[in-house]
Amino acid sequence: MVVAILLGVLATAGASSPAIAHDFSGRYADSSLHTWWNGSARSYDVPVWGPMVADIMDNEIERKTAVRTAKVSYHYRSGLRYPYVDISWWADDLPAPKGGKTTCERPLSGSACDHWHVVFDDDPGQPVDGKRQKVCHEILHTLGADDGSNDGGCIGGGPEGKLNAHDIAHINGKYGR
Amino acid sequence: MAQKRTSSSSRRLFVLMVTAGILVAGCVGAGERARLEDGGEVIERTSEYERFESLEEMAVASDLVVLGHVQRWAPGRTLSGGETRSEVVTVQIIIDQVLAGDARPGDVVSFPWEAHELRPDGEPGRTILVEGIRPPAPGQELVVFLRELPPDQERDAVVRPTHYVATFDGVFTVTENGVVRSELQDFSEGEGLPRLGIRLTGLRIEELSRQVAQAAGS
Ligand SMILES: [Zn+2]
Ligand SMILES: [Zn+2]
Repeated sequence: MVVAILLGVLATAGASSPAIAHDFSGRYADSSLHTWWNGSARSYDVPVWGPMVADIMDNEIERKTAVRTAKVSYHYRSGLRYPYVDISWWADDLPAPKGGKTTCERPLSGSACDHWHVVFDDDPGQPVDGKRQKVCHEILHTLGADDGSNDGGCIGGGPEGKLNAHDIAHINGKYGR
Repeated sequence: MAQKRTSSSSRRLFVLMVTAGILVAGCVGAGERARLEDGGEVIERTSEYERFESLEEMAVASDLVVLGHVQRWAPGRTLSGGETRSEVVTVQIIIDQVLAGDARPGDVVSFPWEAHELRPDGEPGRTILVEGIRPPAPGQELVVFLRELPPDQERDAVVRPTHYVATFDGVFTVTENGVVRSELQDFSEGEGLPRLGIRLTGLRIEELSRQVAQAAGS
């Protein structure tokens, strides 16, 4: 109910642009522990994107929401309850229309996802702030966010790669206890 | 209207293995059956793209809008930056009608499309649905909003495309009775406006053509 009220307030605040809602109706993560690792086959991606992924996971998701994050050093480990790392990320020169993409590589029954592939569009001319926004945006897709809003934050266009109240309300609505 | 993703390819595989296929028809929904029928496993992907509020805006932001049919998938390039590999094909279409822009019926234009995964043996794997949209298949009739390909893109493609898809809101299949249909997934869930592609679904090609021409002329 709090979420609904908050969203109502935000919708009113953003009334200058047409109301294009977004929802958390995409596939969502399999638990509130969101693990990640670098799945790049090209070592030069790591210093460019790696620190930003770590920054978003630590300082946006972990610090501001009910979702816990952990960097892991495995792709698959049979001894764990959720054996696949949740996010494997890399960068690539993607075909136009240019933009990051998020794929549920191992869908679970219902609408959860065991293992995501997040690929950033490797654009050397992109400023650092633009990259941070893109990283935050794609990672929110792995938590179930859909595109559509334009009220800032990580899903609604940023631009600085920081969660806004709308993002946080959705995430906590889904993963909060 | 919202097309819910109810089940999954891996679950389907699991079901198939467990039941040896006997109960499949009873275990999957109508949408899933359709997917099994029209060819192989799929994988769903979100992709960022430019959104437009109206047909007019989308037409103005495009260099070329055509009705055509897919002639073939020319070889493009392989994406291999990470854990999985996939194939970007160059979709070549023969123009039947120019709705806006500088081209003529009979011309061939093309655009890149990440069509499917590549298995370790190099054979095509799962078909990639981008925002719900299937790769435009040879023979398929479609309306597509295109932009000229910048010189710095797709340089490594075997057959370099002439254009690229301006927005996933501007890719439509055409039904037998001349109506356009977007395969975009609708996430609006009844709140807010559906995506533009979905809002334009059901429009007759003559009406779409008229509105695009009007926008291009304004
Ligand atoms: Zn993986
Ligand atoms: Zn997105």
